[in-house]
Amino acid sequence: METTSRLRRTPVITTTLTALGVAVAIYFSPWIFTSSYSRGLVVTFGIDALLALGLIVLVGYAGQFSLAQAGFAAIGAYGSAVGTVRFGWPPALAMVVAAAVAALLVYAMGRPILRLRGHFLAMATLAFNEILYLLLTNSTWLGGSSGFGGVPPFSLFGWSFADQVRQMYLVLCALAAGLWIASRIRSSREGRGLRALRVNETVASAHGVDPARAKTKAFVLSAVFGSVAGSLYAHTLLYVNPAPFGVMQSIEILVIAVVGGVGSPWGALLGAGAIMAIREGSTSFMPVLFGEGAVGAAEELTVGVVLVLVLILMPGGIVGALRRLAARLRPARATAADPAPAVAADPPTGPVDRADPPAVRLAAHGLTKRFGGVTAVDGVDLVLHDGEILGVIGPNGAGKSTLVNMLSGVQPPTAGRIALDGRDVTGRPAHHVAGLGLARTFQTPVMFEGMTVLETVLVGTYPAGRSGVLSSSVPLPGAVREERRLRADAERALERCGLAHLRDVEAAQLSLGHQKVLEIARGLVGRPTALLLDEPAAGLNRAEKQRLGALLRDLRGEGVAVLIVEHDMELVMGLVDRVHVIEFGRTLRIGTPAEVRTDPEVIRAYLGADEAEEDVRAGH
Amino acid sequence: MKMTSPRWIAALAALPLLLSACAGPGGGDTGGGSADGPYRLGVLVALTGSYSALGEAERDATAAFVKKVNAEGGVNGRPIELTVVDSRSVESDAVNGLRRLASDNVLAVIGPSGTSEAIAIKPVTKSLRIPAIGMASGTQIVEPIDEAEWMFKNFPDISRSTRAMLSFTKGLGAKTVAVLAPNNAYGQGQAKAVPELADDYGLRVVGSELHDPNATDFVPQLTRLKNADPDSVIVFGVVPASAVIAQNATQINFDAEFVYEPGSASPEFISVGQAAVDGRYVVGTKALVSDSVDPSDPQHAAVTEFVAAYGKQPTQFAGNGWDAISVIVEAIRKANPDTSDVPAARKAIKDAMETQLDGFVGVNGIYRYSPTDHSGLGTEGLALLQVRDGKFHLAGRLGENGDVILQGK
Amino acid sequence: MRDLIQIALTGVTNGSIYGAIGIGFVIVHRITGVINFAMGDLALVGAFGAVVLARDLPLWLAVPGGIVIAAVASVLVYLLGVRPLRRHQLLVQMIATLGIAIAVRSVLQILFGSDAYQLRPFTAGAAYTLGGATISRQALWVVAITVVIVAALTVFFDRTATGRAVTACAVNPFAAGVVGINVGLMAALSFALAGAAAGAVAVAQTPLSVITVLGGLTLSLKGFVAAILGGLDRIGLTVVGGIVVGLVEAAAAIYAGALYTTLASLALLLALLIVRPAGLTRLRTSTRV
Repeated sequence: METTSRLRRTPVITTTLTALGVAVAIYFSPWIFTSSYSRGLVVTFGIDALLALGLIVLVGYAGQFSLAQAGFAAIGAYGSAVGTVRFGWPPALAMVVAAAVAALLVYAMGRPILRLRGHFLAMATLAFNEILYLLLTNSTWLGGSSGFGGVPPFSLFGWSFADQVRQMYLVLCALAAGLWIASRIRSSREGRGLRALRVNETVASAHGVDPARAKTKAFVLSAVFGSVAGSLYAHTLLYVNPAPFGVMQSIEILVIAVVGGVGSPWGALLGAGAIMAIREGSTSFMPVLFGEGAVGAAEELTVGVVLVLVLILMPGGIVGALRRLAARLRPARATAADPAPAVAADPPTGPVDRADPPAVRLAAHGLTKRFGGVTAVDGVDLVLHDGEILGVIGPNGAGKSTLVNMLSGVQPPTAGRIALDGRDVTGRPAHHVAGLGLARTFQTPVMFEGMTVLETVLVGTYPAGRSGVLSSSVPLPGAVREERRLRADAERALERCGLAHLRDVEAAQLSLGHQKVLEIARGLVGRPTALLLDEPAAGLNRAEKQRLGALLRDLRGEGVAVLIVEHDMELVMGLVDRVHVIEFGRTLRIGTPAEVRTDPEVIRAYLGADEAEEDVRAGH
Repeated sequence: MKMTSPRWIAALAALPLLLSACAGPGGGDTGGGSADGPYRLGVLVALTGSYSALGEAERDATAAFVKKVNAEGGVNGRPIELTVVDSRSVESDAVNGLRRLASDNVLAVIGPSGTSEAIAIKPVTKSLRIPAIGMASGTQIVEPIDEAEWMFKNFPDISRSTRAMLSFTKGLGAKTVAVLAPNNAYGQGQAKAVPELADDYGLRVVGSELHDPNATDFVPQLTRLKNADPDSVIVFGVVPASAVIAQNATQINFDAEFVYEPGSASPEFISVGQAAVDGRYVVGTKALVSDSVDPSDPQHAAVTEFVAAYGKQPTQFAGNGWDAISVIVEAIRKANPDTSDVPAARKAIKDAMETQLDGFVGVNGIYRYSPTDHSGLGTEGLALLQVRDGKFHLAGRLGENGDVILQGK
Repeated sequence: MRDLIQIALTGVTNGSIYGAIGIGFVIVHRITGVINFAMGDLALVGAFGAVVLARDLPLWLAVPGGIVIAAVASVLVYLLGVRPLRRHQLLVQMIATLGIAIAVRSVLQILFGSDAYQLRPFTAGAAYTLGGATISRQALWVVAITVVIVAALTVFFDRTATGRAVTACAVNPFAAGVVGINVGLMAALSFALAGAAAGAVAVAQTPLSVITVLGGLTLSLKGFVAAILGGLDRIGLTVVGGIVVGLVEAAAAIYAGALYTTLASLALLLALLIVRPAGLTRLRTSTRV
C-alpha cells in the first residue's frame, strides 16, 4: 500500500486496517444483501469490477488503450466452460488454463501490436475482439450463437460454490485478491516503470524501462484479470454464449474504469458501483421520463453522457474527485524551507591534475545524424573518461542535445559508432544503454504525475532491480528485500542532493530548480558509471548552481564519467576538466578550459569575428 | 501516490451498491403474497438490444390482453397486474430480471424473447421454482425435461417449423430448394435442419447461404443461389432483412418462388419491401389475415379477439406475446390457486399448464403441453399467406395431418 | 466472369460509403489528431434526418437537409466533446468520442426505436445490367456523390484560402494561431465537413436497402480501415481504400461465404496495422500521440 504522509512510518497499519475492513465487508455481505436479486447484483458487480481492474492496470498504469477486455473474458468463460463440460476438468484447473491461454495469446500477438500507439492500438484491440466474437459465433463445436449450458458451479477442494451466498463470497474474494495484487504492483518496481512509461516513454526508457516488454507485461496482466472474471461469469451463470463478449461490452468496461478513475485500483469498484447504480436507478425513474420502451436506450444515453461529463469535469474519475476532496480537507502543509545546504558552498576550483591516463568509459567515432535534408551532427568524435567532467558547449542549434540523444540511445545515429565500456552500443535503444550503466538527464525536467519525490527517484533504480510482475504481486521475501534496498538507495540519493526534506511532496509541485536537482538525483541513484547531463544548470539560482558543482565534483571523485552540456560559462569553465566545443554539428575544439577560452575560433563562434580579434589583442 | 484513507474509500465503494440494492425489491424471496387482490404476473422481454423488435411487440400484446381481460371482469373474479422488466437481450440481465420479478412475488413470468436468454434462465426458474414461458424457438430451452421442469416455450421447435416450411414449399410445387438464413443460432439451426428433412418431402437442396444478421445487402448470397437455379428459395429471418432480400432478388432478376418464414409475418415486410414482395409467400400467423379466416377454423375466435384488442397491425411476435399470456392465464383460471402462499401458487400454475392445457387454441397455433413436453406448439396453426396489392391474403393452411390445403387465388 | 463484374459493382458501391466515412475520420484526424469514434453514428444521423424530412418535403430538399443535419450534429460533437478536452491527452479525447458515439446511438434509438427506415430512390427506374451483373440506379448516385465529394474537398483544401487555413491548423496549430487563424473555428469547420461528407453518402445509400440505429459501429470500423489505407491523410486514397474494403468483402461473400465478409475486413485491418500502418501512402506515419 502507498504511504500517507501522516502514517508514513506505519504503512503496515494502513494495509492491515484496509484488509480488515474489506474482509469484514465481504463476510457480512449476505446479511446486507438478502434478496436473490440483490445478491445477483453483487455477483455481477464483482465480475464487472474485476474486468475493469484489469483494464485499469493497462490504461491507468501503462497508459495503453484496449478495447479487447471483453474478448479476454470470453476466453476465460469459454475456456472454463469447455474445460469443465467437455473435458471434465476441475473448475480451478480450467480457470488457470484459460488464463494461461489468454496470456499466451497476448504475448504472441503483443509485440507487433504494442508497437502501435494511441488510435492504432485502440483499433487493433477492437478488431481482435470482433474477430474473436465472430469466430465464436461461427464455431459449431462451441455451440455457435447459442453457446452451451450445463457449466457446473465453481468448486475448490470439494467445496462447491453453488448457492448465491457462496458465489458472492467467491466473487468478492477474487475481487479483493485482485485489488491487493494490483495495488502491490502499482507501488512495485514494475509498476513505477509502467507509470513512468505512461507519462513519457523516452524518459522511462532512459531509465532502463523497455517499453515494448513493459507494455506487454501490462497487457498480459489485464488479459489474465479479464480471463479470470470471464471464468467466474461462466461458473455463476452456468451458461456461455458469444453475445456478452462483443465490442460494446468492451466499451462498457472502459466506461466503468474511466468513471471510477483509472488512477487507482479502487476505481474499478467505484466505477462498477456507479454504473450499476445508474442502471438500476434508471429502471426506477426513467419510465416516467421516457416511456417504458425507451428505458434501455435512455440508460445507454445516461452512460454516454456521464462518461463525457466525467472526462471533462473530473478526468480522474470518482477516485480523482475524492482525492481532491481529501486534499482540500487536510490542513495545508507549508512547503518546507530549504535547510542549510547539505554541502558547503566551495569557491569554484580548477580541475584536478591527473597522473595516470584514466580509463575511457564512453567513446564515439564519426557520429552523424541527418534528419531528411538537415545534418544536425556531422562526424563528431568524442571521448569520455572515468573520473572526469567533460563539458560540451556550443552556440544554440549546434547539435548538442542531438549528440547526447545519440550517446544515450534515444536516437540512433545515421553514421558512426558508439562504444560504452568498450562494448559497441551503436543504435541500441535507450533502455539497453541504461541497463549498462549510463544515465542521463533531460533539458526539461519530466515529472511523473502523481508520484512523490521519493517515488520519482525510485524510478531511477529500475535498472538496479530485478523483480518482475509476478514477484511483485505477492510479497516474496526476495522482492521485499530488494524493494527495501532500492528505497534505501533512493533516500541516500535524496540526501546527497539536498532534497531529503521534500521526499513526500508531489514531484510536480516542486519549483523548477528543485525539479532539475531531482532529475539529477534520479540519474545518479542507479549508481551509473557514466552520467550525461543536458543543461542541468538552466533555471537554477546561484546557490543551487554551487551545490550542483560540488555534487558533480564528488561524483568525479568517485570515478563517475560525467558529461555536461551547458551554456553557463562560469559554471562550466570552473568545473570541468576538458571542454568539447561543437558548432554546426561539428567538433570545433577540444581542450582544457584555459585553452578553449582563448581559442579565437571558439570566440568567433560565440561572439562574432571582430570581437574575437579584439579579445585576442586585449590579451585574454 | 497517496491513498487517502482507503477505509472510507472502501466504504464509499459499498455505498452505491447498497443504494442500488435498496432501489430493488427488498426483503426475502418467498411469502409476501395476499389471498385477494390482483394476480401478479411478470413480463420479461427485450425492450432494448438485438431482440427489441420482438420484445416491444410482445409487451404490447400482453398489455392489450390484460386490458381486455380486466375489462371483462378479470380471471376468477380478480384482475391481472403486470410488472414489465427489460431483459436488454442480455443473458445475465435476463437472469437478474427473473430474480427481480421473483423477489417481487409474481406468480409466473412471460418471457424472455430470445433463445439464449431462455436457456440462461432455465436453471434459475428451477432453483427459484417459478414457471416461465419463453417466446423463442431453441430446443435447448425445454430439454432435457428434468432441467426444464419449470421452463416452457410457445414457439415451435426448429425441426417442426422447418417441416412446415418444407410442406408449404412442396405444396407450391417445388422440386429443388435453396435456403437463405441469418448467421445466428436460429438461422444456423434452420440451415442445418433443412437438408436433413428435405428428403421426407421429396425435395432436393441445391444451395444454402448464411448472411450476417445485421447485413443490409444480400446480392452476393442471392447471386450464388441463383447460380444453382432452384425452383424455390426458403428465406429464414426477420424483417427488415427479409424485405431487403426480396428487393435484392428482384434487382438481380432471381426468378424462383420465394417462401418466407414466420419472422417475416408482419406489416413491415410489406411496408419495407413494397413492390418487390408482391406475390411472395409468407408462412405465418392467421392473425394477419383475420378477416379471411374461416369461421369454422377453431382459431377464428382467438384471432378475431386478438386483432380487435391489439389495435395496431398484428405481427407474429405480437401473437406470441398474446398466446403466452393466454396460456398462463388459462392455467390460472383452471388452477384457481391460493395466492397467499406464493410458492404453492406457482406450483399449482405449473401443474395446471402441464396437465390442463392439451389443445388450447391460441392465435399462432394450438398448444398441447404435457409433463414431458414443454414445447407446446406444433404446426397446426400456421398458415400460408401471400402478399397481393399491398396486403396479406390467406393462401393455404396446414390441416391436422400436416397436409397442405391451398386456397384459391 | 459475371461474378467478377458483380463483385466489382457491389464492391465499388459499398466501398464508396466506407470511403466517405473514412474521409470523415481523415478530416477530423488531420486537424485534431483524434479518431472520432462517433463517425459512423453521425453518418446515420444524416440518413435518419433525411428520412424524417422526406415525410413532408420533396427529396431534393430532404437530402440536403439530411446532410446539413449531419454536419450540425458533427459540430455539436466537437463543441461538447472534443473542444473542452483539447488540452488533455489524445487518449482522453478518443474515449470522449466513444462516449459521444454511445450517446448519439441511444438518442437515435429513443427517437426511432429498432425499426427499419427507408428512403425512396432519387430516380426511379430499373437497374442496369452489365455483363450479367446488375447495378441499381441508386448505386450510381452513391458513386457519383462520392466522386463529387472527393473533388470538392480536394479543391477546397488545395485551392481556397479557408481550406489552406484548415490545413495550416492541422500542421501546426500554434503557428496558425500566431498568424491570426481562428483554430477553433477551423476545427469546427472540419467537423462540419466530415459530418457532411459522411452524411451525404449515407443518405444516398439509404434507398439501397434500409437503415437501423444499430449500424453505426460497423460503419465506423469499416470506414476506419479505409482511413488507414489512406494514411489517415489523403482523401482520394481513403476512398480508394474504401473500395478495397468493399471489394474484399464482396469477393469474400461470393467465394467464401457470408460468414467471412466482416472477418475478412477485420483481418485486413489487423494486418494493415501491424505491417503497414501507412496504408497505401508513402508517408511515414506521424505519431501525434
